[in-house]
Amino acid sequence: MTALIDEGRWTKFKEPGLALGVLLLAAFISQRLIVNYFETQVENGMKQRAAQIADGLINGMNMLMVTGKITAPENRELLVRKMADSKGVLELRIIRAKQVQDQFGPGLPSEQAADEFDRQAIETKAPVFPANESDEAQRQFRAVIPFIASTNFRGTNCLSCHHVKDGSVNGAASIVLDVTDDEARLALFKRWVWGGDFVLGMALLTMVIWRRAERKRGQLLHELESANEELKNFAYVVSHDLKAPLRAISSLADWISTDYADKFDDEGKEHMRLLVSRVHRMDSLIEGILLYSRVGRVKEGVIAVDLNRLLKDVIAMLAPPPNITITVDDALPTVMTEPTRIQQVFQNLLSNAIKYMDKPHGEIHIACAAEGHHWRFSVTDNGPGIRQQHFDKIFQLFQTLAPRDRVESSGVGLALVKKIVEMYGGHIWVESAVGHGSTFFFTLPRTAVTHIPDKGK
Amino acid sequence: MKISNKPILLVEDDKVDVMTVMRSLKEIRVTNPVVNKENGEDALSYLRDPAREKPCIILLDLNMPIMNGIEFLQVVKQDSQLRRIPVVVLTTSEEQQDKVNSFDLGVAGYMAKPVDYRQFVEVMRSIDAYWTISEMP
Repeated sequence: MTALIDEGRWTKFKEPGLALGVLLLAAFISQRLIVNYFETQVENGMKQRAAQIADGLINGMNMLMVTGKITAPENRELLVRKMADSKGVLELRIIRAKQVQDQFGPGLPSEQAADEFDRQAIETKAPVFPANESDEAQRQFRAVIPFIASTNFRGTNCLSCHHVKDGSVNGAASIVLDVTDDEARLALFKRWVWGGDFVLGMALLTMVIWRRAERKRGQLLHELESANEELKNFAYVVSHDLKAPLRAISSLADWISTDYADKFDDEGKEHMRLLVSRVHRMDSLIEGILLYSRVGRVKEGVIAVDLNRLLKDVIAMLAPPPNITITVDDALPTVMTEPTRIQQVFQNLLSNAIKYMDKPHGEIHIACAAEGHHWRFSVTDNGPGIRQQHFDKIFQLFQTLAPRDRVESSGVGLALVKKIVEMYGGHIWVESAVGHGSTFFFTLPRTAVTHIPDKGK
Repeated sequence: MKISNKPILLVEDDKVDVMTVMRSLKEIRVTNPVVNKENGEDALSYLRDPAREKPCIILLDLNMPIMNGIEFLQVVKQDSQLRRIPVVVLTTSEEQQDKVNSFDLGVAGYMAKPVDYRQFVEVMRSIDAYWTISEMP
Protein backbone atom coordinates (compact mmCIF):
# COMPACT_ATOMS: atom_id res chain seq x y z
CA MET A 1 0.00 0.00 0.00
CA THR A 2 2.84 2.34 0.86
CA ALA A 3 4.23 1.60 -2.58
CA LEU A 4 0.92 2.65 -4.04
CA ILE A 5 0.81 5.88 -2.11
CA ASP A 6 4.40 6.67 -2.99
CA GLU A 7 4.34 9.95 -4.89
CA GLY A 8 6.78 8.97 -7.62
CA ARG A 9 4.42 6.29 -8.80
CA TRP A 10 1.71 8.87 -9.20
CA THR A 11 3.53 11.59 -10.96
CA LYS A 12 4.15 9.17 -13.82
CA PHE A 13 0.50 9.54 -14.67
CA LYS A 14 -0.16 12.94 -16.14
CA GLU A 15 -3.82 12.67 -15.27
CA PRO A 16 -4.62 11.46 -11.75
CA GLY A 17 -8.05 10.24 -12.93
CA LEU A 18 -6.31 7.75 -15.24
CA ALA A 19 -4.18 6.49 -12.40
CA LEU A 20 -7.27 6.06 -10.26
CA GLY A 21 -9.01 4.12 -13.02
CA VAL A 22 -6.06 1.79 -13.58
CA LEU A 23 -5.69 1.12 -9.87
CA LEU A 24 -9.38 0.47 -9.39
CA LEU A 25 -9.42 -1.88 -12.39
CA ALA A 26 -6.43 -3.79 -11.02
CA ALA A 27 -8.05 -4.00 -7.61
CA PHE A 28 -11.30 -5.20 -9.15
CA ILE A 29 -9.63 -7.91 -11.24
CA SER A 30 -7.52 -9.15 -8.39
CA GLN A 31 -10.44 -9.38 -6.04
CA ARG A 32 -12.50 -11.15 -8.67
CA LEU A 33 -9.72 -13.73 -8.83
CA ILE A 34 -9.71 -14.07 -5.06
CA VAL A 35 -13.47 -14.46 -4.90
CA ASN A 36 -13.38 -17.06 -7.65
CA TYR A 37 -10.67 -18.94 -5.82
CA PHE A 38 -12.73 -19.04 -2.66
CA GLU A 39 -15.82 -20.12 -4.58
CA THR A 40 -13.86 -22.93 -6.16
CA GLN A 41 -12.54 -23.90 -2.75
CA VAL A 42 -16.05 -24.13 -1.40
CA GLU A 43 -17.25 -26.13 -4.37
CA ASN A 44 -14.28 -28.45 -4.23
CA GLY A 45 -14.82 -28.97 -0.55
CA MET A 46 -18.38 -29.93 -1.30
CA LYS A 47 -17.38 -32.31 -4.04
CA GLN A 48 -14.84 -33.86 -1.75
CA ARG A 49 -17.39 -34.37 0.94
CA ALA A 50 -19.81 -35.90 -1.54
CA ALA A 51 -17.07 -38.10 -2.95
CA GLN A 52 -16.31 -39.34 0.52
CA ILE A 53 -19.90 -40.32 0.91
CA ALA A 54 -20.28 -41.78 -2.55
CA ASP A 55 -17.10 -43.76 -2.14
CA GLY A 56 -18.86 -45.50 0.67
CA LEU A 57 -21.69 -46.74 -1.49
CA ILE A 58 -22.20 -50.44 -1.01
CA ASN A 59 -21.49 -52.59 -4.04
CA GLY A 60 -24.49 -53.98 -5.83
CA MET A 61 -26.86 -51.55 -4.29
CA ASN A 62 -29.11 -50.33 -6.98
CA MET A 63 -29.96 -46.89 -5.73
CA LEU A 64 -29.60 -45.05 -2.52
CA MET A 65 -31.04 -41.75 -1.67
CA VAL A 66 -29.10 -40.08 1.03
CA THR A 67 -30.61 -36.86 2.13
CA GLY A 68 -30.28 -34.62 5.05
CA LYS A 69 -28.10 -31.87 6.42
CA ILE A 70 -24.77 -33.47 6.28
CA THR A 71 -22.62 -30.61 7.30
CA ALA A 72 -22.92 -31.76 10.89
CA PRO A 73 -19.80 -33.90 11.34
CA GLU A 74 -21.55 -36.77 13.15
CA ASN A 75 -24.02 -37.20 10.25
CA ARG A 76 -21.25 -37.18 7.76
CA GLU A 77 -19.31 -39.75 9.70
CA LEU A 78 -22.31 -42.01 9.95
CA LEU A 79 -22.88 -41.90 6.23
CA VAL A 80 -19.30 -42.56 5.44
CA ARG A 81 -19.21 -45.52 7.79
CA LYS A 82 -22.32 -47.02 6.17
CA MET A 83 -20.82 -46.84 2.71
CA ALA A 84 -17.35 -47.86 3.72
CA ASP A 85 -16.58 -50.48 1.08
CA SER A 86 -17.71 -48.73 -2.05
CA LYS A 87 -15.37 -47.98 -4.95
CA GLY A 88 -15.53 -46.51 -8.43
CA VAL A 89 -17.33 -43.20 -8.33
CA LEU A 90 -17.28 -41.74 -11.79
CA GLU A 91 -19.46 -38.72 -11.74
CA LEU A 92 -20.23 -35.95 -9.38
CA ARG A 93 -22.58 -33.19 -10.20
CA ILE A 94 -23.76 -30.27 -8.29
CA ILE A 95 -27.31 -29.34 -8.99
CA ARG A 96 -28.92 -26.32 -7.43
CA ALA A 97 -31.39 -27.54 -4.89
CA LYS A 98 -34.06 -25.24 -6.25
CA GLN A 99 -33.62 -26.86 -9.62
CA VAL A 100 -34.09 -30.31 -8.11
CA GLN A 101 -37.21 -29.22 -6.37
CA ASP A 102 -38.60 -27.61 -9.48
CA GLN A 103 -37.77 -30.62 -11.60
CA PHE A 104 -38.89 -33.31 -9.20
CA GLY A 105 -42.00 -31.50 -8.34
CA PRO A 106 -44.18 -33.16 -5.75
CA GLY A 107 -43.19 -36.71 -6.78
CA LEU A 108 -40.30 -38.87 -7.86
CA PRO A 109 -40.13 -41.37 -10.78
CA SER A 110 -40.43 -45.13 -10.49
CA GLU A 111 -37.41 -47.33 -9.85
CA GLN A 112 -37.18 -48.31 -13.52
CA ALA A 113 -37.56 -44.75 -14.54
CA ALA A 114 -34.83 -43.74 -12.10
CA ASP A 115 -32.53 -46.36 -13.62
CA GLU A 116 -33.33 -44.96 -17.01
CA PHE A 117 -32.45 -41.50 -15.81
CA ASP A 118 -29.18 -42.77 -14.46
CA ARG A 119 -28.35 -44.39 -17.74
CA GLN A 120 -29.21 -41.22 -19.60
CA ALA A 121 -27.18 -39.18 -17.17
CA ILE A 122 -24.13 -41.35 -17.77
CA GLU A 123 -24.52 -41.13 -21.53
CA THR A 124 -25.13 -37.42 -21.69
CA LYS A 125 -22.87 -36.61 -18.72
CA ALA A 126 -25.52 -34.17 -17.57
CA PRO A 127 -28.17 -34.28 -14.91
CA VAL A 128 -31.43 -35.80 -16.02
CA PHE A 129 -34.74 -35.08 -14.38
CA PRO A 130 -38.00 -36.87 -14.74
CA ALA A 131 -40.90 -35.23 -16.41
CA ASN A 132 -43.50 -35.57 -13.77
CA GLU A 133 -46.23 -37.73 -15.37
CA SER A 134 -47.66 -40.88 -13.73
CA ASP A 135 -49.50 -41.17 -10.46
CA GLU A 136 -47.79 -44.49 -9.99
CA ALA A 137 -44.43 -42.90 -9.93
CA GLN A 138 -45.60 -40.34 -7.50
CA ARG A 139 -46.97 -42.94 -5.12
CA GLN A 140 -43.92 -45.08 -5.26
CA PHE A 141 -41.56 -42.36 -4.12
CA ARG A 142 -43.91 -40.35 -2.05
CA ALA A 143 -42.24 -41.49 1.12
CA VAL A 144 -39.09 -39.77 0.09
CA ILE A 145 -40.65 -36.45 -0.79
CA PRO A 146 -41.43 -35.11 2.64
CA PHE A 147 -37.92 -35.77 3.62
CA ILE A 148 -36.49 -33.81 0.73
CA ALA A 149 -38.95 -31.06 1.30
CA SER A 150 -38.09 -30.81 4.95
CA THR A 151 -34.46 -30.12 4.27
CA ASN A 152 -35.33 -26.60 3.19
CA PHE A 153 -33.58 -26.65 -0.14
CA ARG A 154 -33.27 -22.98 -0.61
CA GLY A 155 -29.70 -22.03 -0.13
CA THR A 156 -28.52 -25.59 -0.19
CA ASN A 157 -26.99 -27.65 -2.93
CA CYS A 158 -27.93 -31.08 -4.06
CA LEU A 159 -25.29 -33.46 -5.30
CA SER A 160 -26.14 -36.41 -7.45
CA CYS A 161 -23.62 -39.24 -7.48
CA HIS A 162 -23.75 -42.15 -9.84
CA HIS A 163 -21.80 -45.22 -9.00
CA VAL A 164 -20.87 -46.94 -12.21
CA LYS A 165 -19.21 -50.31 -12.71
CA ASP A 166 -18.56 -52.12 -16.01
CA GLY A 167 -20.57 -49.64 -17.99
CA SER A 168 -23.74 -50.01 -15.98
CA VAL A 169 -25.02 -48.03 -13.08
CA ASN A 170 -24.19 -49.87 -9.97
CA GLY A 171 -25.54 -47.45 -7.52
CA ALA A 172 -26.52 -43.85 -7.24
CA ALA A 173 -26.84 -41.40 -4.50
CA SER A 174 -28.41 -38.04 -4.33
CA ILE A 175 -26.80 -36.21 -1.58
CA VAL A 176 -28.14 -33.00 -0.24
CA LEU A 177 -25.40 -30.86 1.14
CA ASP A 178 -26.22 -27.99 3.35
CA VAL A 179 -23.88 -25.29 2.25
CA THR A 180 -25.54 -22.36 4.02
CA ASP A 181 -22.50 -22.05 6.27
CA ASP A 182 -20.15 -21.97 3.30
CA GLU A 183 -22.31 -19.56 1.40
CA ALA A 184 -22.70 -17.34 4.40
CA ARG A 185 -18.95 -17.34 4.82
CA LEU A 186 -18.50 -16.57 1.14
CA ALA A 187 -21.06 -13.79 1.33
CA LEU A 188 -19.34 -12.35 4.37
CA PHE A 189 -16.03 -12.59 2.58
CA LYS A 190 -17.51 -10.81 -0.45
CA ARG A 191 -18.88 -8.12 1.79
CA TRP A 192 -15.45 -7.62 3.25
CA VAL A 193 -13.97 -7.50 -0.21
CA TRP A 194 -16.50 -4.92 -1.36
CA GLY A 195 -16.01 -2.99 1.85
CA GLY A 196 -12.31 -3.07 1.18
CA ASP A 197 -12.97 -1.89 -2.37
CA PHE A 198 -14.99 1.00 -1.07
CA VAL A 199 -12.32 2.00 1.40
CA LEU A 200 -9.62 1.66 -1.25
CA GLY A 201 -11.67 3.69 -3.71
CA MET A 202 -12.30 6.41 -1.18
CA ALA A 203 -8.64 6.42 -0.19
CA LEU A 204 -7.58 6.77 -3.81
CA LEU A 205 -10.14 9.46 -4.45
CA THR A 206 -9.03 11.35 -1.36
CA MET A 207 -5.47 10.94 -2.46
CA VAL A 208 -6.22 12.32 -5.92
CA ILE A 209 -8.13 15.25 -4.47
CA TRP A 210 -5.36 15.83 -1.97
CA ARG A 211 -2.74 15.66 -4.69
CA ARG A 212 -4.64 18.17 -6.76
CA ALA A 213 -5.04 20.47 -3.78
CA GLU A 214 -1.36 20.03 -3.02
CA ARG A 215 -0.41 20.91 -6.58
CA LYS A 216 -2.70 23.91 -6.50
CA ARG A 217 -1.21 24.99 -3.19
CA GLY A 218 2.29 24.58 -4.57
CA GLN A 219 1.30 26.67 -7.56
CA LEU A 220 -0.18 29.36 -5.34
CA LEU A 221 2.89 29.35 -3.16
CA HIS A 222 5.06 29.69 -6.22
CA GLU A 223 2.98 32.60 -7.48
CA LEU A 224 3.17 34.22 -4.08
CA GLU A 225 6.91 33.79 -3.99
CA SER A 226 7.36 35.27 -7.42
CA ALA A 227 5.03 38.13 -6.54
CA ASN A 228 7.09 38.76 -3.45
CA GLU A 229 10.26 38.59 -5.47
CA GLU A 230 8.76 41.06 -7.93
CA LEU A 231 7.93 43.39 -5.07
CA LYS A 232 11.52 43.22 -3.85
CA ASN A 233 12.77 44.02 -7.31
CA PHE A 234 10.19 46.75 -7.54
CA ALA A 235 11.59 48.46 -4.46
CA TYR A 236 15.05 48.22 -5.95
CA VAL A 237 13.89 49.56 -9.30
CA VAL A 238 12.11 52.40 -7.56
CA SER A 239 15.22 53.32 -5.63
CA HIS A 240 17.47 53.31 -8.68
CA ASP A 241 15.54 53.93 -11.81
CA LEU A 242 13.11 56.50 -10.45
CA LYS A 243 15.56 58.35 -8.28
CA ALA A 244 18.26 58.74 -10.93
CA PRO A 245 16.19 60.93 -13.30
CA LEU A 246 14.79 62.78 -10.31
CA ARG A 247 18.28 63.64 -9.20
CA ALA A 248 19.12 64.77 -12.69
CA ILE A 249 16.07 67.07 -12.77
CA SER A 250 17.04 68.47 -9.40
CA SER A 251 20.64 69.15 -10.45
CA LEU A 252 19.66 70.67 -13.77
CA ALA A 253 17.08 72.92 -12.10
CA ASP A 254 19.69 74.00 -9.60
CA TRP A 255 22.21 74.83 -12.32
CA ILE A 256 19.67 76.70 -14.42
CA SER A 257 18.64 78.86 -11.49
CA THR A 258 22.29 79.49 -10.54
CA ASP A 259 23.76 80.03 -14.01
CA TYR A 260 20.87 82.11 -15.31
CA ALA A 261 19.95 83.85 -12.06
CA ASP A 262 20.22 87.30 -13.67
CA LYS A 263 17.90 86.25 -16.51
CA PHE A 264 15.00 85.12 -14.23
CA ASP A 265 12.45 87.57 -12.91
CA ASP A 266 10.87 86.97 -9.49
CA GLU A 267 8.12 84.77 -10.90
CA GLY A 268 10.60 82.63 -12.77
CA LYS A 269 12.68 82.23 -9.62
CA GLU A 270 9.58 81.23 -7.67
CA HIS A 271 8.71 78.63 -10.32
CA MET A 272 12.20 77.20 -10.14
CA ARG A 273 11.95 77.05 -6.35
CA LEU A 274 8.60 75.21 -6.61
CA LEU A 275 10.08 72.84 -9.19
CA VAL A 276 12.92 71.93 -6.87
CA SER A 277 10.63 71.56 -3.87
CA ARG A 278 8.32 69.19 -5.82
CA VAL A 279 11.32 67.14 -6.83
CA HIS A 280 12.23 66.89 -3.17
CA ARG A 281 8.69 65.85 -2.32
CA MET A 282 8.78 63.12 -4.91
CA ASP A 283 12.10 62.04 -3.51
CA SER A 284 10.65 61.76 -0.04
CA LEU A 285 7.67 59.78 -1.40
CA ILE A 286 10.02 57.32 -3.06
CA GLU A 287 12.01 57.18 0.15
CA GLY A 288 8.76 56.41 1.97
CA ILE A 289 7.91 53.55 -0.38
CA LEU A 290 11.36 52.12 0.15
CA LEU A 291 11.08 52.47 3.90
CA TYR A 292 7.67 50.81 3.88
CA SER A 293 8.77 47.98 1.62
CA ARG A 294 11.84 47.29 3.72
CA VAL A 295 9.71 46.31 6.73
CA GLY A 296 9.50 42.52 6.76
CA ARG A 297 11.73 42.30 3.69
CA VAL A 298 14.99 43.26 5.29
CA LYS A 299 15.39 41.12 8.38
CA GLU A 300 17.36 42.28 11.30
CA GLY A 301 18.33 40.17 14.29
CA VAL A 302 15.71 40.00 17.03
CA ILE A 303 17.36 41.07 20.27
CA ALA A 304 16.27 42.16 23.73
CA VAL A 305 15.61 45.88 23.46
CA ASP A 306 15.39 47.97 26.62
CA LEU A 307 12.66 50.45 25.70
CA ASN A 308 13.73 52.90 28.42
CA ARG A 309 17.06 53.40 26.70
CA LEU A 310 15.58 53.28 23.23
CA LEU A 311 13.07 56.02 24.03
CA LYS A 312 15.77 58.26 25.50
CA ASP A 313 17.68 57.92 22.23
CA VAL A 314 14.60 58.54 20.11
CA ILE A 315 13.63 61.67 22.06
CA ALA A 316 17.17 62.98 21.91
CA MET A 317 17.24 62.40 18.16
CA LEU A 318 13.91 64.17 17.60
CA ALA A 319 15.10 67.13 19.69
CA PRO A 320 11.62 68.46 20.52
CA PRO A 321 11.26 72.25 20.71
CA PRO A 322 11.36 73.70 24.25
CA ASN A 323 7.60 74.30 24.41
CA ILE A 324 6.93 70.55 24.15
CA THR A 325 7.60 68.25 27.09
CA ILE A 326 7.76 64.51 26.61
CA THR A 327 7.25 62.31 29.65
CA VAL A 328 7.75 58.57 29.80
CA ASP A 329 6.38 56.00 32.27
CA ASP A 330 8.89 55.04 34.94
CA ALA A 331 9.74 51.54 33.83
CA LEU A 332 9.13 50.34 30.31
CA PRO A 333 9.62 46.66 29.52
CA THR A 334 12.45 45.06 27.65
CA VAL A 335 11.05 43.39 24.54
CA MET A 336 12.42 40.93 22.02
CA THR A 337 12.31 42.72 18.70
CA GLU A 338 14.29 44.26 15.88
CA PRO A 339 15.69 47.49 17.35
CA THR A 340 15.31 49.54 14.16
CA ARG A 341 11.66 48.62 13.79
CA ILE A 342 10.56 49.44 17.32
CA GLN A 343 12.55 52.65 17.05
CA GLN A 344 10.65 53.52 13.86
CA VAL A 345 7.36 52.96 15.68
CA PHE A 346 8.13 55.36 18.52
CA GLN A 347 9.94 57.82 16.31
CA ASN A 348 7.00 58.14 13.93
CA LEU A 349 4.38 58.42 16.66
CA LEU A 350 6.43 61.01 18.55
CA SER A 351 7.44 63.04 15.51
CA ASN A 352 3.78 63.20 14.45
CA ALA A 353 2.82 64.44 17.91
CA ILE A 354 5.54 67.09 17.73
CA LYS A 355 4.92 68.03 14.09
CA TYR A 356 1.19 68.64 14.48
CA MET A 357 1.31 70.23 17.95
CA ASP A 358 -0.89 73.35 17.99
CA LYS A 359 -0.84 74.27 21.68
CA PRO A 360 1.64 76.72 23.25
CA HIS A 361 2.56 74.08 25.81
CA GLY A 362 2.73 70.69 24.23
CA GLU A 363 2.55 67.62 26.44
CA ILE A 364 3.31 64.16 25.16
CA HIS A 365 3.18 61.12 27.40
CA ILE A 366 4.30 57.58 26.73
CA ALA A 367 2.85 54.80 28.85
CA CYS A 368 2.84 51.04 28.96
CA ALA A 369 0.56 48.54 30.65
CA ALA A 370 0.54 44.76 30.78
CA GLU A 371 -2.73 43.51 29.33
CA GLY A 372 -3.20 39.75 29.17
CA HIS A 373 -0.62 38.36 26.77
CA HIS A 374 0.21 41.79 25.42
CA TRP A 375 1.94 44.98 26.33
CA ARG A 376 -0.25 47.95 25.56
CA PHE A 377 1.73 51.06 24.75
CA SER A 378 0.21 54.48 24.37
CA VAL A 379 1.46 57.82 23.07
CA THR A 380 -0.79 60.63 24.23
CA ASP A 381 -0.60 64.25 23.09
CA ASN A 382 -2.63 67.40 23.69
CA GLY A 383 -2.49 68.40 20.05
CA PRO A 384 -5.31 69.18 17.58
CA GLY A 385 -6.94 65.74 17.75
CA ILE A 386 -8.32 63.72 14.87
CA ARG A 387 -11.94 63.42 13.77
CA GLN A 388 -13.32 59.91 14.14
CA GLN A 389 -14.07 59.58 10.43
CA HIS A 390 -10.32 59.69 9.76
CA PHE A 391 -9.36 57.03 12.32
CA ASP A 392 -8.87 54.34 9.65
CA LYS A 393 -7.65 56.57 6.86
CA ILE A 394 -4.63 57.90 8.73
CA PHE A 395 -3.07 54.43 8.83
CA GLN A 396 -3.19 54.08 5.05
CA LEU A 397 -0.18 54.70 2.86
CA PHE A 398 0.25 58.27 1.53
CA GLN A 399 -2.76 59.57 3.47
CA THR A 400 -2.26 62.93 5.17
CA LEU A 401 -4.82 65.22 6.76
CA ALA A 402 -2.93 68.50 6.30
CA PRO A 403 -2.12 69.91 2.85
CA ARG A 404 1.42 68.98 1.92
CA ASP A 405 2.43 72.60 1.44
CA ARG A 406 1.62 73.36 5.06
CA VAL A 407 3.08 70.31 6.74
CA GLU A 408 5.65 68.45 4.66
CA SER A 409 4.72 64.80 5.12
CA SER A 410 5.08 61.76 2.95
CA GLY A 411 2.08 60.02 4.47
CA VAL A 412 4.13 56.94 5.13
CA GLY A 413 4.77 57.20 8.88
CA LEU A 414 1.59 55.72 10.35
CA ALA A 415 1.26 53.13 7.59
CA LEU A 416 4.79 52.06 8.43
CA VAL A 417 4.00 51.93 12.16
CA LYS A 418 0.90 49.84 11.48
CA LYS A 419 2.83 47.45 9.26
CA ILE A 420 5.54 46.97 11.88
CA VAL A 421 3.13 46.50 14.79
CA GLU A 422 1.04 43.99 12.84
CA MET A 423 4.14 42.15 11.70
CA TYR A 424 4.90 41.50 15.36
CA GLY A 425 1.34 40.28 15.96
CA GLY A 426 0.06 43.42 17.65
CA HIS A 427 -2.49 45.96 16.55
CA ILE A 428 -2.77 49.72 16.56
CA TRP A 429 -5.63 52.15 17.04
CA VAL A 430 -6.29 55.74 17.95
CA GLU A 431 -8.59 57.51 20.37
CA SER A 432 -9.03 61.23 20.02
CA ALA A 433 -11.07 64.26 20.99
CA VAL A 434 -10.89 67.08 18.45
CA GLY A 435 -9.20 70.09 20.01
CA HIS A 436 -7.98 68.17 23.05
CA GLY A 437 -5.52 65.67 21.73
CA SER A 438 -5.06 62.09 20.59
CA THR A 439 -3.80 58.85 22.03
CA PHE A 440 -2.25 56.23 19.79
CA PHE A 441 -2.36 52.75 21.28
CA PHE A 442 -0.47 49.73 20.07
CA THR A 443 0.11 46.28 21.45
CA LEU A 444 3.05 43.93 21.32
CA PRO A 445 2.88 40.29 22.41
CA ARG A 446 4.50 39.56 25.75
CA THR A 447 6.85 36.85 24.64
CA ALA A 448 8.61 34.74 27.22
CA VAL A 449 11.68 36.91 27.23
CA THR A 450 9.96 40.25 27.64
CA HIS A 451 10.02 41.52 31.15
CA ILE A 452 9.86 44.68 33.20
CA PRO A 453 13.04 45.05 35.16
CA ASP A 454 11.59 46.93 38.12
CA LYS A 455 7.83 46.61 37.96
CA GLY A 456 6.22 43.83 39.91
CA LYS A 457 8.99 43.43 42.42
CA MET B 1 43.27 65.64 -3.90
CA LYS B 2 46.73 65.17 -2.51
CA ILE B 3 48.33 64.59 -5.85
CA SER B 4 46.78 67.15 -8.08
CA ASN B 5 47.95 65.90 -11.46
CA LYS B 6 46.69 62.32 -11.27
CA PRO B 7 43.34 61.69 -12.89
CA ILE B 8 40.11 60.84 -11.10
CA LEU B 9 38.38 57.85 -12.69
CA LEU B 10 34.63 58.30 -12.72
CA VAL B 11 32.77 55.09 -13.58
CA GLU B 12 29.27 56.35 -14.26
CA ASP B 13 26.78 55.85 -17.08
CA ASP B 14 24.32 58.68 -16.38
CA LYS B 15 25.29 61.80 -18.32
CA VAL B 16 23.75 64.23 -15.84
CA ASP B 17 25.45 62.45 -12.96
CA VAL B 18 28.76 62.86 -14.77
CA MET B 19 27.99 66.54 -15.24
CA THR B 20 27.08 66.80 -11.57
CA VAL B 21 30.40 65.34 -10.50
CA MET B 22 32.37 67.52 -12.95
CA ARG B 23 30.53 70.65 -11.93
CA SER B 24 30.83 70.02 -8.22
CA LEU B 25 34.55 69.26 -8.55
CA LYS B 26 34.99 72.49 -10.43
CA GLU B 27 33.00 74.31 -7.77
CA ILE B 28 35.25 73.05 -4.97
CA ARG B 29 38.30 73.74 -7.12
CA VAL B 30 39.59 70.25 -7.62
CA THR B 31 41.87 70.45 -10.61
CA ASN B 32 42.56 66.79 -11.22
CA PRO B 33 41.52 65.67 -14.70
CA VAL B 34 38.39 63.53 -14.66
CA VAL B 35 38.24 60.42 -16.83
CA ASN B 36 34.72 59.11 -17.36
CA LYS B 37 34.01 55.49 -18.29
CA GLU B 38 30.47 54.29 -18.83
CA ASN B 39 30.74 50.84 -17.30
CA GLY B 40 33.03 48.45 -15.43
CA GLU B 41 34.42 46.87 -18.57
CA ASP B 42 35.50 50.18 -20.13
CA ALA B 43 36.97 51.23 -16.80
CA LEU B 44 38.95 48.00 -16.54
CA SER B 45 40.43 48.32 -19.99
CA TYR B 46 41.40 51.89 -19.15
CA LEU B 47 43.04 50.80 -15.89
CA ARG B 48 44.93 47.98 -17.62
CA ASP B 49 46.23 50.17 -20.43
CA PRO B 50 49.94 50.75 -19.55
CA ALA B 51 49.95 53.95 -21.60
CA ARG B 52 47.41 55.53 -19.27
CA GLU B 53 48.27 56.98 -15.93
CA LYS B 54 46.72 55.19 -12.96
CA PRO B 55 44.05 57.31 -11.26
CA CYS B 56 44.43 58.57 -7.68
CA ILE B 57 40.86 57.61 -6.85
CA ILE B 58 37.95 55.77 -8.49
CA LEU B 59 34.42 57.11 -8.06
CA LEU B 60 32.16 54.17 -8.80
CA ASP B 61 28.48 53.91 -9.56
CA LEU B 62 26.92 50.50 -8.81
CA ASN B 63 24.04 50.33 -11.23
CA MET B 64 25.53 50.24 -14.73
CA PRO B 65 25.01 48.25 -17.91
CA ILE B 66 27.40 45.52 -19.19
CA MET B 67 29.48 45.33 -16.01
CA ASN B 68 28.06 46.78 -12.83
CA GLY B 69 29.98 48.26 -9.91
CA ILE B 70 30.08 45.13 -7.78
CA GLU B 71 31.40 43.01 -10.67
CA PHE B 72 33.96 45.70 -11.38
CA LEU B 73 35.08 45.65 -7.74
CA GLN B 74 35.39 41.87 -7.78
CA VAL B 75 37.88 42.11 -10.65
CA VAL B 76 39.78 45.14 -9.38
CA LYS B 77 40.31 43.77 -5.89
CA GLN B 78 41.78 40.56 -7.36
CA ASP B 79 44.29 42.55 -9.40
CA SER B 80 47.51 43.22 -7.50
CA GLN B 81 48.21 46.27 -9.68
CA LEU B 82 44.84 47.91 -9.07
CA ARG B 83 43.68 46.82 -5.64
CA ARG B 84 45.35 49.68 -3.78
CA ILE B 85 43.57 52.44 -5.72
CA PRO B 86 40.92 53.78 -3.36
CA VAL B 87 37.38 53.20 -4.62
CA VAL B 88 34.54 55.36 -3.34
CA VAL B 89 31.07 54.10 -4.23
CA LEU B 90 28.74 56.88 -5.38
CA THR B 91 25.30 55.41 -5.78
CA THR B 92 21.56 55.90 -5.44
CA SER B 93 21.14 52.59 -3.67
CA GLU B 94 20.69 52.64 0.05
CA GLU B 95 20.11 48.91 0.12
CA GLN B 96 21.91 47.23 2.98
CA GLN B 97 22.97 44.41 0.68
CA ASP B 98 24.76 46.78 -1.68
CA LYS B 99 26.61 48.36 1.23
CA VAL B 100 27.60 44.96 2.62
CA ASN B 101 28.79 43.74 -0.78
CA SER B 102 30.78 46.91 -1.39
CA PHE B 103 32.57 46.87 1.96
CA ASP B 104 33.20 43.13 1.62
CA LEU B 105 35.09 44.06 -1.52
CA GLY B 106 37.16 46.64 0.35
CA VAL B 107 35.77 49.97 -0.80
CA ALA B 108 37.18 53.10 0.81
CA GLY B 109 33.80 54.76 1.17
CA TYR B 110 30.12 54.54 0.29
CA MET B 111 28.17 57.70 -0.53
CA ALA B 112 24.49 57.83 -1.39
CA LYS B 113 23.91 60.43 -4.09
CA PRO B 114 21.62 63.05 -2.60
CA VAL B 115 18.80 64.41 -4.73
CA ASP B 116 19.79 67.94 -3.80
CA TYR B 117 22.71 69.27 -5.84
CA ARG B 118 23.98 71.46 -2.98
CA GLN B 119 24.20 68.42 -0.75
CA PHE B 120 26.02 66.61 -3.51
CA VAL B 121 28.62 69.35 -3.60
CA GLU B 122 29.10 68.84 0.14
CA VAL B 123 29.58 65.11 -0.41
CA MET B 124 32.26 65.82 -3.01
CA ARG B 125 33.87 68.36 -0.71
CA SER B 126 34.13 65.74 2.04
CA ILE B 127 35.63 63.19 -0.34
CA ASP B 128 38.17 65.72 -1.51
CA ALA B 129 38.99 66.81 2.04
CA TYR B 130 39.54 63.24 3.16
CA TRP B 131 41.71 62.23 0.24
CA THR B 132 43.73 65.41 0.59
CA ILE B 133 44.63 64.58 4.17
CA SER B 134 44.93 60.81 3.83
CA GLU B 135 48.28 59.38 2.80
CA MET B 136 48.30 57.18 -0.25
CA PRO B 137 50.71 54.45 -1.19
